[in-house]
Amino acid sequence: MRLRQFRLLIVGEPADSAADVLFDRADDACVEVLPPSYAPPGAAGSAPAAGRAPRAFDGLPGGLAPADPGGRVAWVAFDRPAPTLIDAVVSGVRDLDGAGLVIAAAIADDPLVTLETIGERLDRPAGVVRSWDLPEPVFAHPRRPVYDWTEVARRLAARRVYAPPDDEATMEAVTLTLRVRELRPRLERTAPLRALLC
Amino acid sequence: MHRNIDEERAWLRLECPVCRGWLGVPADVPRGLPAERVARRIDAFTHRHRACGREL
Repeated sequence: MRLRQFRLLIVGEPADSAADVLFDRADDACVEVLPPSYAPPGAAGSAPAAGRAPRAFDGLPGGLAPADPGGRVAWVAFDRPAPTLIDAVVSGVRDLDGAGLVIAAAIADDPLVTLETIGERLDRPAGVVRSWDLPEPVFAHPRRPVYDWTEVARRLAARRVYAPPDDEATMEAVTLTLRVRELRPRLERTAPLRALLC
Repeated sequence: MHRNIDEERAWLRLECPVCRGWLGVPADVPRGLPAERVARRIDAFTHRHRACGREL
């Protein structure tokens, strides 16, 4: 079982009652609600610009920024051990279904990481990671610095210390499947669609 | 950071006093890696809301 870290973007701000159900089901989940100012127009789907701190919406597929300028956006982040990423994401979808939360997309994990997160991803103690020549942290706290994982992964990959997994296809496949599920009541039948996958 | 602690709940809510963004985390997390993972979520949330202009 490997640790799988990802987020499920949800539609609307979750009610406390829905969060109660979610946390009863999943003790490896965290819910975050952000004001729309964290998703400036045009930022969705873009990579972080050089020289600025990563925003929470960096790396999101295009079109997922809130349509309502006053609307909030929320996600559920998971730290879930599972044999494969798709098993982890689908089980996360089941947890959100059980809590009555509507999912807009499966997306990559939060780009902000700690030394402990980096260490866990590379199977090294945080104390060892601290001694590495990492990129400048986005927040240079003496005990708990925060790093942009995109920059860290790029540097470690360049040194052949880390091989980034291709998680994008899984996230897109789950998102598209959820979209088909949403359309299902309006379809005459779905068997021909399933046949397309064979 | 405002902490909303309800003994009936299995989770804690941390709220930014400026923008009212919030983070919900599980309340009873075992020490070790699970606690570190939650601490990382709190660090990321705290860092994001530094831009709001008030110390959380």
